[in-house]
Amino acid sequence: MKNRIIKVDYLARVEGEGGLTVKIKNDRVSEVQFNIFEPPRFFEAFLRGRNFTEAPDITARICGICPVAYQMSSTHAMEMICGAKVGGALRELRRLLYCGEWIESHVLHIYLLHAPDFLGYEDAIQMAKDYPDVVEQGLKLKKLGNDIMIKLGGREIHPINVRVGGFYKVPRKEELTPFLERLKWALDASIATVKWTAGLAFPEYERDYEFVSLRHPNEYPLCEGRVVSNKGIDIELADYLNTFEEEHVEHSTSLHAFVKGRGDYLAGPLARYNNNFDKLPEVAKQAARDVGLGEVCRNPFKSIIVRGVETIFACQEAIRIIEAYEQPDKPYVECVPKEGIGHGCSEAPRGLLYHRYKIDDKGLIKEARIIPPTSQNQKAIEADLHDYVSQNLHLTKEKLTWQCEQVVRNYDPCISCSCHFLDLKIERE
Amino acid sequence: MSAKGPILIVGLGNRYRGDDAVGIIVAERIRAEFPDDITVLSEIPDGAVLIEAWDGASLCCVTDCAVSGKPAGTIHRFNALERKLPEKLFSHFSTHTFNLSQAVELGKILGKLPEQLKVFGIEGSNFKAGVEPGEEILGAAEAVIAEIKKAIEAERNAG
Repeated sequence: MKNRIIKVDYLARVEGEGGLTVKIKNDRVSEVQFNIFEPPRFFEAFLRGRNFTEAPDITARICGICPVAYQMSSTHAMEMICGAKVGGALRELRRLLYCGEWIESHVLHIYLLHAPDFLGYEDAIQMAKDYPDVVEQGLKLKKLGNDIMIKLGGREIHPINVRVGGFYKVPRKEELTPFLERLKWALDASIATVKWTAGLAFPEYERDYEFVSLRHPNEYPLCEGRVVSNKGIDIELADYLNTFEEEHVEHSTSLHAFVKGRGDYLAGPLARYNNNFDKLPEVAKQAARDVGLGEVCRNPFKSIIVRGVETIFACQEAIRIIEAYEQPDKPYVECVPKEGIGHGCSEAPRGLLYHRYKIDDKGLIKEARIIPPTSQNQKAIEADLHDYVSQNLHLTKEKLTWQCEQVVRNYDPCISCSCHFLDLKIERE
Repeated sequence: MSAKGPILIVGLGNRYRGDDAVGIIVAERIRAEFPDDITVLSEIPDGAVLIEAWDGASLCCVTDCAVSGKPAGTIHRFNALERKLPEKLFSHFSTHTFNLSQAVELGKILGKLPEQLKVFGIEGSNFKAGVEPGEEILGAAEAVIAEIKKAIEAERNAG
């Protein structure tokens, strides 16, 4: 049949509401709409009038899975305005907290959300019946990430110990050293994770992405750096809105970001990996080499392997930080507000997270702009779906539905959260 | 005589959303009455944390708000080791992870369960942000608190 409309009215169990419409004309995909019905981001509105010190606590509520990312982007933006520099042990503690978030978020996605797709299971519960040791390993890794966040952040959801300038309280060395044994186990488990995920069956699919991420001269990026891409972008944070733009599209309440003058781009583990392979610790690079993952990977399905490589990095980085840690004299750096504009970019587990604030001389927020990675990836997701469906029109409805879900889950977005979020209808004309 | 394993009391829900706070209210009352020797959790981010927390406990009581269409304040009681929890009765922690029912099923598969798992669902109807739970909900909470206290004492006295 030459002409078809594939319509999905409602995607169940997504963060926000979404659907999928694919129009096929003369055996070619003429249009793909990934319809997201999530509510407006009132955060940018109700941040106005709040004190600049409240930004990390308020913005952390945007996400229960990556609150640290919001806290880091907001604190860095405010510190930029105040002219404050958080360095030394406080900077390291921030990276350690972020490592905890990366571990728990990446492992959750690898084991519980994404791996079932590749093995043909409806969900991780079904997968656990045949792979109990694998799932248990994932849960143990996730717990470690959560425990690091609890130790440094006070709790794993919406940490309460993060403030502009640093922390409210910092741990003693002896509170962190017990994590070393668990992290050394986790490092081995992460290497095993990479080997295991590399053995999954991957569709042969690549696209010529523009990969956008932070890049730092000395480290694999978490909270600091310039924004770069593999297609020539290399900017300070202050130039972010001159380079990227968000637009509202009729079929979605989720804004779509794009590179001005170009189009969609991809943020997240694949972007970080491709832009920063040289900054990975040797143990992570070697794990990637051992499974045949090159320094550049353009297959989005293989993002599950890359998340495993980044989990190795996070474990190794956490070990490095804890071994070198000396408790700072003070848990924070003083930040005196002044009128100004500040920008913060950090690498949430699922990609670049940009914050911009304008505050007055009393420290009250006048403007707030937040661009999460899920928003930035919307166009890339649609482009992938368009491309992938085009190449797979011969598949049965059930198979096509499954693989469309998988295409979205490659991005680990906050809109794809359970196995049956897509209800694909095929209407034949 | 002391319990064979730890006793864990869990309250699920959202304290800022009306009737959805009831699980947390129950847990915090138990915490106040047994401050030293009972583990009480009321900030559970996801089902994975539950599985790790209740593994090996001699008794675990979980309370959450439930929605089935029954009158507000109706109490649903489950022995979750013997009877599968209705998946749609309780809300999800988040759309990123699995819910209470799935946590129990995964715990069964992995062999990570408490020796006793009692689940209480208190039927709610008003989940508006910023409102207090309804009177019927609070009344049901008192009944569940009494049952949990009885279960704790029974476990403590068990040989």
